[in-house]
Amino acid sequence: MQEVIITINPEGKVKVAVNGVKGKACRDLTAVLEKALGQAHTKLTSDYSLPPDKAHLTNKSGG
Amino acid sequence: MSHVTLIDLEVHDLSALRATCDELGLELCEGQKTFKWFGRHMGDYAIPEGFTKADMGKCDHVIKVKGNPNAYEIGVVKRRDGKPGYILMWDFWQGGYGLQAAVGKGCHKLCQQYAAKVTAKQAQALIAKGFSQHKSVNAQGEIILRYTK
Repeated sequence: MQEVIITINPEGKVKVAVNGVKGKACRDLTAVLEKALGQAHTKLTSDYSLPPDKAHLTNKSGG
Repeated sequence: MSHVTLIDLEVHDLSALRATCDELGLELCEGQKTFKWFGRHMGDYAIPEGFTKADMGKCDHVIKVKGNPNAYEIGVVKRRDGKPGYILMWDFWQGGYGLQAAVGKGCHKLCQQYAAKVTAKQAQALIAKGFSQHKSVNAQGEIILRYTK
């Protein structure tokens, strides 16, 4: 399952967490949202360095 | 998990700010160049980067509390530190005579609701990609927007 969780605390600070999306696609998924909200400080997790799913690769090469 | 981003909120989107004001009983007066405050900077708080005492009370847009003509107002001012967007300036002396009750201490209530509004607007792109949205508020008062596919 792909999941994006955005938490906005009572002071207006925002945390964006992306789960289950491997590779660069995870950054692409929320890049516009993060830019619209303000100054972002990003921590990449272990999934980021994994290759995208095979289906995703097929779509890219096919498209 | 793929990535986690912490974001220091900046005000970029005037239409989202207007919609937030409508929800909180405020009015965004676009193009109004001065806002109501004490009128004299007492030197007890720092002036934002790029501004001087002479700039206090001047702005690009104003946020007013509807139905309270005595309340101080919020100046929406284009940033002068090289970053895009606006900063919010307001005078919180005596709670801004009703302003703080409407926007929260430190303008936090306004900022939280604005962030939620911008998030919901930008997340339309996620919904278009097949994500479903679920919104909740937890015991700590955090707004949680969860998108899953």
